[in-house]
Amino acid sequence: MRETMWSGERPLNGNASPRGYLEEKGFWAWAYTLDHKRIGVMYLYTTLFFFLVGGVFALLIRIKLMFPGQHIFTNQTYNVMFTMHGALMIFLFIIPAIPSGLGNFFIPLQIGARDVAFPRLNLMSYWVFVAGIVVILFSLVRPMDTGWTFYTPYSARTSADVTVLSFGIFLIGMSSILTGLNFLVTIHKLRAPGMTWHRMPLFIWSMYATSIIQVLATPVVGITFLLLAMERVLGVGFFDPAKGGDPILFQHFFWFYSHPVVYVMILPAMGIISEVIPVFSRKPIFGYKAIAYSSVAIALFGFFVWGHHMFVTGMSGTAAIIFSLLTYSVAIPTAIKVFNWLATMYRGSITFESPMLYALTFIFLFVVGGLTGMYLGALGADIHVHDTYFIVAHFHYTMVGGTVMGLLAGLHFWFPKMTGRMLGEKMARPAWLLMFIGFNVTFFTQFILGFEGMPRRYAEYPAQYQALNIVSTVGSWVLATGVLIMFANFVRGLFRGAPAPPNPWKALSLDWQTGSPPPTENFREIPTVTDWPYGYAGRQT
Amino acid sequence: MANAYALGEAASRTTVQVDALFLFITLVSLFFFLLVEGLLIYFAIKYRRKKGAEPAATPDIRGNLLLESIWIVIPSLVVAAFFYYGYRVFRDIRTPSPGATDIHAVGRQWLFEFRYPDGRSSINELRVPAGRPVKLILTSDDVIHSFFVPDYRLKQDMVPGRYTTLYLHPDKAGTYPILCAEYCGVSHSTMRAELIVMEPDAYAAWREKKEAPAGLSLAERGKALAEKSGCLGCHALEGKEKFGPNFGKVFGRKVLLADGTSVTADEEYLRESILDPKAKVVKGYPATMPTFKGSLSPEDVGAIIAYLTSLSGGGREEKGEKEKREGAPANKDGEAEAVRKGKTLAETYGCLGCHSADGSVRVGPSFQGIYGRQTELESGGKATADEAYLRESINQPRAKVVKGFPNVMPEFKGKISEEDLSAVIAYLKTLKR
Repeated sequence: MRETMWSGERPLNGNASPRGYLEEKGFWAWAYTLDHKRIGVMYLYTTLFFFLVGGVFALLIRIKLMFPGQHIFTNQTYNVMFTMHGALMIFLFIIPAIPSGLGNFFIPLQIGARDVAFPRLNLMSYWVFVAGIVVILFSLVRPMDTGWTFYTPYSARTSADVTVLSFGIFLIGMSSILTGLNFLVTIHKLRAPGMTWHRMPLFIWSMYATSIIQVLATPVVGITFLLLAMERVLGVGFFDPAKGGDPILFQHFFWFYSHPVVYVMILPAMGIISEVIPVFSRKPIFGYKAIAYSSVAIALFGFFVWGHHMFVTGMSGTAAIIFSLLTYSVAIPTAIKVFNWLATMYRGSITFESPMLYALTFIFLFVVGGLTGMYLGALGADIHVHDTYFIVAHFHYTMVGGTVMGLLAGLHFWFPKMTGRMLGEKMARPAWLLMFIGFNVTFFTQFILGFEGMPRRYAEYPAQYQALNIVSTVGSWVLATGVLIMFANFVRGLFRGAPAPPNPWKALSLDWQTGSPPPTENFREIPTVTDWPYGYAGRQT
Repeated sequence: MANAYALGEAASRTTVQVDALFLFITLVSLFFFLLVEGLLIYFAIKYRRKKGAEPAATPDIRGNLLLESIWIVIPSLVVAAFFYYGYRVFRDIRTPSPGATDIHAVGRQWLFEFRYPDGRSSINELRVPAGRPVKLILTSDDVIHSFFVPDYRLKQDMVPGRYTTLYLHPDKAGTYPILCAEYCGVSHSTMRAELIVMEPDAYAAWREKKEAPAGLSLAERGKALAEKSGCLGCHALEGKEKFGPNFGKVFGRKVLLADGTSVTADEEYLRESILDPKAKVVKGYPATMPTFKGSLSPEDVGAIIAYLTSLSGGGREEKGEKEKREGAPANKDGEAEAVRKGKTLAETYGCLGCHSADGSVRVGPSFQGIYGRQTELESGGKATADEAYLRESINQPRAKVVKGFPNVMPEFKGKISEEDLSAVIAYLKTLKR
């Protein structure tokens, strides 16, 4: 089989060794590595591990919620579990997984660079991340029961180790800032000759937008946690009204970071979808510039909508109205992307390998997540469903249906490139199907529960909500089965997968124009770019 | 779903408004849902490639200005409509209703307390007449709570150190759950109350009955009011003083004021000090007492004064009356009264939010059979729940934690008077297995 060539001109870069960057073995070869690919892989292992841990918490939460009263474990244990589920999933999995994992691996490859701009800083980011994890584990001595949102004055008063956990997250935030900075400089300075901004793959555009948010927003949550620590340890009254502080100020600080950060979660996933759809439709991406600029637009608008988390705190009506209007402004660039992906499929020649299945699932579920966001932006409707299971369902549709499906599309898409082995499609399909069904059963029911008024973070709930909770719990078992089969497939692929050719999907971006796995410095010689990476039209292999 | 789109069937007009907004967004969203998912599935089927087939040559379509403009403009108009409709409903919800009754609602871990304009108050039960709007003035004593009435589609946070307001339109008689919607600690999920909307006649009858509790003397009513209004949080009866002067023997005493003059604590002085506490501050005490003007009716103030009088051995007539009524076994009745009081206190302080009275295990050990129970402690030792142990466990719960239970109970030291503590323990003693 002839390989698809970059612009049809340049010959394929070969491997120095069949194992590429994976050649060198041993603990220190990994721990001290400056290779962006190895660092990316370490991030992926770490984050996927916490995905499983967070998932176990989720399953326990769902089991407890099969019963309306006190069952199985105490309410306090339940509160700790939903806190750990949220904190681990958000800070140790969903924020870092795509940017620090896949981003680290594929940004230099896709722009034709040998590494990121600051490889040592990159390694330091990883170890600061690990240090943050260790600190978080220490907080389990007196486990957190505040929810991942740390709202004051509860978080300022509880006997749990808020200071320790928030210090751990502070470190993880620092790692996130360093990674973002590294990526910004890398994308600005290290693009291969001829790769103009409008020839960059869309994954790079989305990672660029993501990095801007990481660098600008993360310091705010760092400062917030420092203030919270000062309040808890030194008794300075920033947030506790008993000490002269303002608890709502904390929420403003917190959401000023935590709203933009949902775009840190979703933008990279959107970038992956923009890569996968054209490859498996064998058609140029529709509206390249619209997709690229909408990523930046989402990043910018995302900074001005944090108030929509606080409509019922007693914020002024005027502020609430302005935040509602601004919130809807984010919907437009998001809608543009979805329409563009659909238009890309139009008159394509589509195949449904596992990356494409996950990419289509992303679109399907993310549309539900986006449309249910329409209720939350509307002031009158948000007041009713705020802090209910409607919110829980909405953000799981965007974060799991969106980000996680995007991540899984990326993992299945790039697995051959990263490991040099193919993933078995036979196991990938049932895993995908179970996850798709399980996810919808688990979370669609929660929209109804929320509309019917079941508040979130309830260890016990009025008995009228039990039936749907049981359905949701059963759904979580189906979802978990799918996830387990998928991981089994990953493990199988790692050890038994067929050797992967350099470009199994016949994609045009630079990451596919080198060996699978790529050699240590990615390319034997730096390629020269003459065209955009989506020229699939009329191309026959 | 108890959706009622017609006014009259609905619990409140806000229910109708919010449901209509939901319906509008649902219908429009459903259209876009079907459009997008339909196209997704249609394209996936129509343009699929057979397995093993060579990819067909695809057209080089990179964009279409008209199409892209359409899908920017139309969604923009749609979200503008969502925004405007949401704003309209929000404006109606927020618009003050003339003639609304002011009711104060306070969130506390883990109960709701409601204070009515005439000085009554209630725990976890908000009783209002149908047809008359209510202005809730919300705040919290500790952490953030949220006042949520699902049937009214309304929610408002209760923030410590702030007042927030929420207008209720109780249009239809019935009982509606009130839930705490902002996570507030271990018993967040059991912090629930009821909104009881009564027909105006029934409400008036209930209020009358409530206002003249049968069989209570004025001083007894005053005592209950003093407890309920939190007086005893700062004024001890006797013994060690709290923030303010002790209540015992205050009546009739000559007190030295902060400005150097002195005054006799007669009825007028006591009345003034309750309604305008900063007017004549006793020397040596901080001028921190809040005014009770408006929250206590003149009758209530009178009752409290009667109670204070009785503490100083005054009000002999009443005392005589009471003795007459109670007859000989005064001691036994006193005990029964303490038990009753202890029970009320256990409810008011929220003890029952974590400790059941029926043997079921909640956050903490059940109260049923607690007195005299042998318990294993988290620290390893054992303890018998005698009076001293219970006393310590209420004052400083962290000293001895029962094995298997979280160390989350707040300290009541300084928050509960010695007398109240005894009453609570007297109540606990009665809860036998």
